[in-house]
Amino acid sequence: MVLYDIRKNAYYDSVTLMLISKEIKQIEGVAEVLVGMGTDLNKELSSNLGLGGEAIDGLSPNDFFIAAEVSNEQVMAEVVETVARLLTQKKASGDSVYRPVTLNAAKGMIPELNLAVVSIAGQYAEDEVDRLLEENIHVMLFSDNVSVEAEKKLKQKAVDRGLLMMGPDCGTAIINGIALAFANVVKRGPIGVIGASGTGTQEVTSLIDRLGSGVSQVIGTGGRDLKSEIGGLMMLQAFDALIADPETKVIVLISKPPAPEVAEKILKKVSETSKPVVVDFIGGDIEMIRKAGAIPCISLEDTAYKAVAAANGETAADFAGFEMSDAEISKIVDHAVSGLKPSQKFLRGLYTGGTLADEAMKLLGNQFGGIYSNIPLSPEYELENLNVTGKHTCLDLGEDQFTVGRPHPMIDPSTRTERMLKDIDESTAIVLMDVVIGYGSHENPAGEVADSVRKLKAKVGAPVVYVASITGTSGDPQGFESSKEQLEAEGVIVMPSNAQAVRLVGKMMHALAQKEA
Amino acid sequence: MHVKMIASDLKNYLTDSAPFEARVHSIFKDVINLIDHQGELITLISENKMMAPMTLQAPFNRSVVKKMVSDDIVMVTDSKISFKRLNWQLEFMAADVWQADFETDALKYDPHTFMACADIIREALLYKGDNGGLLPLIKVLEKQLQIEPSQMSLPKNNTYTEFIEEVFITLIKHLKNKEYEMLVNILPRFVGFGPGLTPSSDDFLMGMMITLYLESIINNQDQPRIREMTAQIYNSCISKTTTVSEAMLKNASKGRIASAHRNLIETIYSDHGDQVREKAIAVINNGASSGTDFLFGIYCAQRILLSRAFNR
Amino acid sequence: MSRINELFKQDLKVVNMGLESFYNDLKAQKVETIHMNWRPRAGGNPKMLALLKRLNTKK
Repeated sequence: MVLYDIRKNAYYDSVTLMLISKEIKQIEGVAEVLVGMGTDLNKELSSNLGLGGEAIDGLSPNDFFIAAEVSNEQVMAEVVETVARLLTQKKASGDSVYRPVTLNAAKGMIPELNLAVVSIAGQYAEDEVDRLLEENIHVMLFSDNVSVEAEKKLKQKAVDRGLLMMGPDCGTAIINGIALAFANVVKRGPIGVIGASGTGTQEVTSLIDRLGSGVSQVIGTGGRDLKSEIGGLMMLQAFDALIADPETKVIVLISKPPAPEVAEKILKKVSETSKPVVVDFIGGDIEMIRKAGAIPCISLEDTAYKAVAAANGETAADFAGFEMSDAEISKIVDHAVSGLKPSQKFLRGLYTGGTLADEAMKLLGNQFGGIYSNIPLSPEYELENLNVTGKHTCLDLGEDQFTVGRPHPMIDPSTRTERMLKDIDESTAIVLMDVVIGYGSHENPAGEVADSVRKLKAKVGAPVVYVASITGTSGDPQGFESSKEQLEAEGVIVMPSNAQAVRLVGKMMHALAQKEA
Repeated sequence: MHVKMIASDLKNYLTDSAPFEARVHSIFKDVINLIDHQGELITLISENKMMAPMTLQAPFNRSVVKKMVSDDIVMVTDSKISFKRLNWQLEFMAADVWQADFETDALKYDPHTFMACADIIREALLYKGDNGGLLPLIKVLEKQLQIEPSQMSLPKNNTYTEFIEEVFITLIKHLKNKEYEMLVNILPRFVGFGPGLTPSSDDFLMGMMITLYLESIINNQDQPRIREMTAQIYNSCISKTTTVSEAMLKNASKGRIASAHRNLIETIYSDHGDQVREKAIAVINNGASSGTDFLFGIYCAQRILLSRAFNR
Repeated sequence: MSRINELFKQDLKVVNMGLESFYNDLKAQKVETIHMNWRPRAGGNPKMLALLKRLNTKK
């Protein structure tokens, strides 16, 4: 039987019409459905599909119709109810005048809720997440300040029910191609990623995109998952899911070095699958990874290279160099360093992404007399009072001491802008920065950095060298190319990855040391 | 309340035609359409949307818009728009003017850049495009014009493209051979077709015709014939499609399109080819399949122009 | 098959609790989403409160 729903002179926006069409098609017992405006050709198509009838013949182009072939009256009722719900729901999903206050009300509006993104204050999050898991809804928990006990309880519940509980303090995920919280627009492809670190995951996935491959799923676990108290519960759960996922051909794990017994549990799983497993335990034990049959990495960029190679059935050697030729790199280094005045001696690293800052510190190591930081490699290089004078420094501006009472610098660049205007002077030789774009980030992080560089050029009477990398893709809202353009317009040297930017800075610092000698 | 920006074509229209009465045609979250005594569509947008022809941009008073209904009477003068029942006035004397026409002097056409551009647009379409409209016809287009297929997988036919495929093949053939009068003849078998408030085939025609229209101006060839064709395309849509689509086609036939779409086309006819991908994706993200269909229309026109330029 | 693998085959239907910008970003990606009106009470996490304040003043 054919069912019609006709609304004369009714105008619904295209996204709503598309959602209606999709939903109705999924109802069991619906053989065919057409949703559209009553133009001659749309009416003719309806006829061709066996959906024609008097009800549609009389329609004009400004009338909206739904014609569906259904197997019985019950299905008809379900279609009618679905349409009614979606057309009033349009107000909520499209126009959001009504915002539900309880989960039940939310479920009333979208009954098949399957994921919750939770970013409410930490102490209230536990109850809410518990309720969501009870309803078998997967959770991404962005909030931090959730206790370890709560995290363990919630993750155990999620594991028991076969659900995702990403977090707490999980900032990055890409599920079914949708960027969640702070994530980039990355092409779909065969690489599955599980990351305990936000910007680390962003850097790896963005580079995978740039190298021409793509991701199947990117699952976040939150920063504490691999500590012994939590035992890697979510990473193990996600690992199982990616092993079972037919779209995933390569699995990538990213995290700071796990507690030893947790690392062991995770690496044991590698033998449960024939899919290549690429592991970056940033700065962790490479031999242990290799012995387990996984592919170890020396940087986030190297992780991307190795994952893409594995996806192509190849192996890749460690990527420890540059994309540009040695000659080009030398030219850049010489040009930068030769212009420096004698007063310019120091490095100023100013990072918004914690893992990127960490990678910078690890790659620069203890050369150059040590680099002071709020995340130092060893305690003697802890920066006192955040006073940078007279030493090489590299700051993670996303750490707690900088974000008291203010948003994270990825959202609000003013923290970095202020530090730049304060810390950069005639004693600064090189400035090293990350620029993270994508969803969640500020509307134009590159523009903000470019502005600050412009102001500093007018203020500081010495030619400071600026080196940066952009974590992002051309699909991101801010645009990779336009971000690069804005930075290069102010003379910032933009390198293709954080690792390469750091290596370039390392070379410059060597050259500077030699010049002084 | 003060209007922030008014489109130049609307400003001229109001200077000539006001005062008059109009009524509310449709209401969306950030868009309100009015229809006037002459059947012209006038659009109000909030600050969340980008400018377009015959459009005014003003901050929306949300509580007022919530109470608005279709057919509410609106008084329009040459300085003010008043929603009588709701007591909401929009004054546009001090508004900035958005230029609705292309700056054709600034546009450039170089077949090699153009070809690289077409490849980029194809990639954007296949990567991010919505397959619910006419995009699956890309297979047919490329076969007709003997274009080297892309590495990416092509979308499968849907109910709509299956129905319209024959007409589409004929349309491409006529365009390729510059048989513009014959093309206009088959338009009744093409316009107002497909899903969406602006049916897919209309979005497609808009993209296609604006691309050809501008090329004819830049290269100063065939202008009268192309102009005639675009005017005829609009004529064949009158009463054959939704009011909103009709209005958009009318504006497009005069060389006027929405800001985001214009941004893309200006980039195509420039030497900033590196920005094409981002702008193409921004267009795709407009609406459900509207953006994709419009972009597909551009792509189609590009391949046709290129097949003439390189005789392939 | 675990619920996670099932999720991979479904369209995402999301409820957002907290920062409205996440909801806007989901909408921009054409995801069917609902925003729940969740307000932290006094004494809530200052960092989160600051984030919310910032986003309320952002356009």
